[in-house]
Amino acid sequence: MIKAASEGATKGFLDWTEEKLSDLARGFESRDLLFIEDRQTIDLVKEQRKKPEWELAKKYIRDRDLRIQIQMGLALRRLESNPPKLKELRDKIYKKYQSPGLHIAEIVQTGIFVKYIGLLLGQTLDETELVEKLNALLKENEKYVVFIKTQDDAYRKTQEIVARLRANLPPALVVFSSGTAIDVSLEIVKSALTQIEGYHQEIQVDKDNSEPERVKLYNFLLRTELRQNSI
Amino acid sequence: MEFVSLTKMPNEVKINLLKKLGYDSDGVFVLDSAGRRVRDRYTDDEVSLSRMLIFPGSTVILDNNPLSIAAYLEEYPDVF
Repeated sequence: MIKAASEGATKGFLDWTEEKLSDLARGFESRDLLFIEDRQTIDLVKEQRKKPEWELAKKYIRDRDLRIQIQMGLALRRLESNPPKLKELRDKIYKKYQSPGLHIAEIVQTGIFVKYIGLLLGQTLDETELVEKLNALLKENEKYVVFIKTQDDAYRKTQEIVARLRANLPPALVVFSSGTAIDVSLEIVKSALTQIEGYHQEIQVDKDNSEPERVKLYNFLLRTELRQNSI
Repeated sequence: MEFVSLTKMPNEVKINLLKKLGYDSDGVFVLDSAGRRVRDRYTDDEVSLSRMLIFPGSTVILDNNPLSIAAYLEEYPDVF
């Protein structure tokens, strides 16, 4: 009796599973169902695609890989309070896109991209020029963005910035730093500006969302002639 | 579109489901009909039972991570 009961229970379980699985398979084939381990990751991605920052970016950026990197930058920002997930995503971005792609994601993560859009909106003649410059910002970001870390050598970074400004004459170069790197960053920019003509600085400060007591500093080195000619 | 969570589904049931969809598993990774480990088309990672994400329409099986999902949505923006 016990054996029969256990056989019956097992068969019942298997029948339920088989029927349920067949229903699921049919639902899948009719494109009504999506199977996922958990919803958090999909919800994270969907949440970033609703952001005004993405709505703005997708209007001007058509390259599929750039669009993915931008979304990953937004996702990185969202994951700043979850260091293990943040590292996991950074590793995935690096594996697929190497340093250039990771830098693009970081440019978005840190807010540089959206601030640069604001800067360009006042300096470009039409949408074609804006699209061109935004794509250049991302694809040739080494010409337009410098990240300063606390441990950076101030002299070397100063020379790096001066060299980039002289070589590329960008309309703007953003020097980004946060937290304890801000002091050395200000020192570096001050020194760089004494060595090159035609540029001035404008500073913006934001709070770090993951650590409210920590700030982010965006030091824009702007070509002075553009300030004189801008609308 | 409805999401079906695999979180509480036992591995044996997941494997049965995969078989109904034309796939299989060695208990850890998802296998295709030729017995090869399925790779995420966007990250090239081998897809494990514990991290699989199955989209309908040509039965796309991905690793459950933001990059793969974003890449899929760029290719199929109307899926949701």
